[in-house]
Amino acid sequence: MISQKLTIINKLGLHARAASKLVNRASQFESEVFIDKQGNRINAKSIMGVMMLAASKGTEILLEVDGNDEQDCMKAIVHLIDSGFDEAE
Amino acid sequence: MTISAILSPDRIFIDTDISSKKRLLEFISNTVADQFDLPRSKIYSNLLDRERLGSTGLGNGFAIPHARLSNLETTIGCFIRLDQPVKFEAPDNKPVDLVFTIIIPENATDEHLQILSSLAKIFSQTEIREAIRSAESNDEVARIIHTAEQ
Repeated sequence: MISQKLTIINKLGLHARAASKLVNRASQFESEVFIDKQGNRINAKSIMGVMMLAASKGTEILLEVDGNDEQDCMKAIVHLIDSGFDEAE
Repeated sequence: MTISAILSPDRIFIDTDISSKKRLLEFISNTVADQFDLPRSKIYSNLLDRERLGSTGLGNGFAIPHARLSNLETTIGCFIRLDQPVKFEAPDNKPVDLVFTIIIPENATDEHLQILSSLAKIFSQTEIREAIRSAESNDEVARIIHTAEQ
């Protein structure tokens, strides 16, 4: 299991579309993916779970990935979040 | 902001006979436009544009079509239970019969996230979805949602 702290940087935070992109990305991998926001831990392959976090811009989250492809999975999700979900401002 | 606060019983519709996603979005646009004196074509096109970016179906027959609207002061909710589920291109490929629409002021970012979070908390619960599916009046739906938020 690997984990990494991340900050949500896109203006709208984890709104529905960003949440859906995150879930789609996580679901491309075999590994289990969890996001923890202040002790609230959810399955990152569940759109409802990700939306429940209400993670706004500036929110710090802990990404945990566990499985055979955890390195690639972590890299892909970090890239997505750090690129602000490719959203225009 | 609670879900109950943005959803008055006159924007809860049960057993509506709507045959497609487009008809559904039209029905929502007409309802909200009439009640709040807002531009119906703008609401409709914003809802449709959002669906084109990716379905707002979230699985288990639940969807959250939503749109931002300029010059809006407060978020408006509208809930529809469909008699016959409609195709929605949801991630689990199931048709949708429970629809919670939110029309959102342009700049309401944090409030919007809070509302999405509350909706996810309520509608991810199987018992609540089933209770809403078997509710016999719009007041009963309002009560179920209100209780779920406590």
